Amino acid sequence: MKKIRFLLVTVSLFVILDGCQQDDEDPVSAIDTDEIQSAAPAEYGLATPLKSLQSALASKDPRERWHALSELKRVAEIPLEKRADLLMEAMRQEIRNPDPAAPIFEGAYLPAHDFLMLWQTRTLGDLAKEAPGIVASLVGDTSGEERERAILAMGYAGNQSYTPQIRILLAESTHWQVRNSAAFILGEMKAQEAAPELMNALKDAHQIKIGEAGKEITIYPVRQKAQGALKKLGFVIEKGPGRNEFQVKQQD
Amino acid sequence: MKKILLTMYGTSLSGCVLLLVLAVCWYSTARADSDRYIQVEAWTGSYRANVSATSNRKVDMTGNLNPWGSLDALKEQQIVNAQVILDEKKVSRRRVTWEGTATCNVSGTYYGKSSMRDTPFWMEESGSDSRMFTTPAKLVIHTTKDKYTISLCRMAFTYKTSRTGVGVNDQGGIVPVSEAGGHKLNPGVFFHSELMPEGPVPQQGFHLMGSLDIDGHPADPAARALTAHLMTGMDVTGKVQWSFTPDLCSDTDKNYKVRITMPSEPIELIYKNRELSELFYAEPVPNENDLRSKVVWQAFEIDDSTRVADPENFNSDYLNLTFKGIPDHNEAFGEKEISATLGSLERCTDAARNKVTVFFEQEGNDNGSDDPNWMWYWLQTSAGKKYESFIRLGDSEICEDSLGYFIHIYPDIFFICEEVLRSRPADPFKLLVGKKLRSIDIFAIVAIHENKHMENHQEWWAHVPRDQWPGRENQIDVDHDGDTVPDDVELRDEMSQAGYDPLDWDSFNIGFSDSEVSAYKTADQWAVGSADEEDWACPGAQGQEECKEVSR
Repeated sequence: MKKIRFLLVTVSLFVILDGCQQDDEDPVSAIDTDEIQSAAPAEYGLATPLKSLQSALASKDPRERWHALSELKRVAEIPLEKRADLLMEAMRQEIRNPDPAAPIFEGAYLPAHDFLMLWQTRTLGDLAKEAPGIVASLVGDTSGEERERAILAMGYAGNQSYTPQIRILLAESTHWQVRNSAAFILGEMKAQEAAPELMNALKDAHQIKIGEAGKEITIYPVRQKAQGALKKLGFVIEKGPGRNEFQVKQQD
Repeated sequence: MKKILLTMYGTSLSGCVLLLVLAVCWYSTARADSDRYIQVEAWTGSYRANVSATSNRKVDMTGNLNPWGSLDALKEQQIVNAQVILDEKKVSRRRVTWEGTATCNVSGTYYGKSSMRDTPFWMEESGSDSRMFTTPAKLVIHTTKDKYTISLCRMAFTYKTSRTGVGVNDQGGIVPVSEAGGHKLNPGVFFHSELMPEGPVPQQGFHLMGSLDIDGHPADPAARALTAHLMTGMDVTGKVQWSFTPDLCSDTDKNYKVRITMPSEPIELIYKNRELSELFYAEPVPNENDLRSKVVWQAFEIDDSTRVADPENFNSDYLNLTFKGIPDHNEAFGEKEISATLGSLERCTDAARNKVTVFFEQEGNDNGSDDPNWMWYWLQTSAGKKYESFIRLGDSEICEDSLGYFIHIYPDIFFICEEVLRSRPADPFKLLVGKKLRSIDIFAIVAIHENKHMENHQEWWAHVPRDQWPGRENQIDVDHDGDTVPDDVELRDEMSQAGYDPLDWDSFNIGFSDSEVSAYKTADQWAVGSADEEDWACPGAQGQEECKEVSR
């Protein structure tokens, strides 16, 4: 009888320990979404519970996906790791299935896909300010455009150690939005060592047409960002004869 | 000592007897007062006296008009209608006070013809007049008195002499020298007449047109013989109606009550196609047949909307209310009350009451203007009042992607889109994060945003010829990046320090042109929720059930 009792206790202990071990292995899946759901009002816009946020990030409506990004930064009841995970999943989906929609807001000049990617990256940068380790690990764990976006996020968070990688992105990325943001971030970081890449970027070929057909104007966004960054580094930039032409005069 | 004690005993006994007698007397008096009190209580109810009587005074005469001529005909007819409506206002232990109004309508016609003696000249006058005036009426009814008189139609007057005449001037034309018109004179010589009253007549005062005599006690239905006298001394025809609806609620023995059974909870009523209708039911307690007809309703009214009630006298256990014509004004909507009693609402303090909240359909279009309801009514609230003269409803095609827009070819107006009812506005500066927005908030935020665009345009471009406004290549010299913010504006110190770059369309790398930045930064100028109490849209900020709008 004593042996049977001993066996029962031992088995119980294993079951309990096994459960604990599982929790340790996968902290993300350990979140009880129902518990979060009940802990916060279900009304979207106040305290978005996990399920609502997941649903909003996967919505067919690009505007709802964009609003969900603002919420994602805010919902403290969802652990940062989980939020970063949700954001990367949303980014992955956007890369795999680019939203073909036109600009989704009044005054937004980027099509839905570019607009959403820009704001997903910026939001990841906001998370990187709070938890740099989590986003830094994404740089190591991902590849391709996802990785490029993770690097930019570290730059948005002001992490100077990523300057070399951002300079490479400006010079080499095949995604104009990545080059555009890289130029902007290098200016914000006042990365003097990035001046050569920024000078080169003044000749970036990517152009966008904005406005009604027949009345549209053409802008070269990466060039504009590069000249802006150079100004922040102390260069004097003057208007060229054309709308997208700039002349670097001197460095202060 | 024994005598003294006996005397004292006798005195005490007498005293006791006296006290007993006094106590009995007091009790009797108190009882009598109490009976009267109960009797007075039993009278409480809605007494209404309607007197409708007509007096016809007819004058038909001829005679001499010394010294000039004769009165060939004077015909006059005067009709007086009087009506008194009194409602019980005050009940005390021994008397009931009624207060109300007496309304008199006096109308008259006259015709007169006079001739000049020994001449072919004559004069003719005719006319009619009608006046209605209302005076306060009051009647105090005592427990014992059984004859009452109510004064009817006190009419103020000022006596004036009448002076009429016409003459012929040197050119042969007729010249009026009269203070009154309506003369018809065979042309000829000067004619003058003056009428003065005979004897002493007061120059001004009050004239009592009649009285209502009540013979018998008003509390006794059998004794309600009433006589109306109008224009004392003249013929009187007409009828007197007397009605009495007792306040059953005041009968403390029976403890009558009433409750509204349908709807039993506060309700939300919504105008549809300019009309609103609801059926109410009340149930007397105890629910006896003869009590059901005693239920009296008091129903709300809505400005600018015609109330139609069935039954018209509000006196039944049901009330079918219909309001025809949707109000023009937003403030006409909102919370109302309906109540039911077994007697006067003023006296039956335990009346059954139900809250009714009146809404308009948010997406409806029955306000009578070209604008949808949400726009028409919200423009009357603090969310839109400021911009009322600048806002127009947006074009449906442009509105597919927008909540509102400003186009520089219409420099003095901006547009708002129905999308404000469905979408949350863009918020690149995260000024609205965490805020619960209802449609009326979004309406206000978009209005402020577009107004900012309009202001910016007026400041930046109004001085530039229209064919050189922004968005065109020919503006490269003043707006190099094409973002519609002029270079000299972007170079201002405060703009430059804020991050504006005259050579970058999107200086802040947010996916919006720089012209949007100052507009989106107005998002927190609106105090979210501050117009909730003015929002009577369904769905909207104030609904509880059907009309509750979930914030976004």
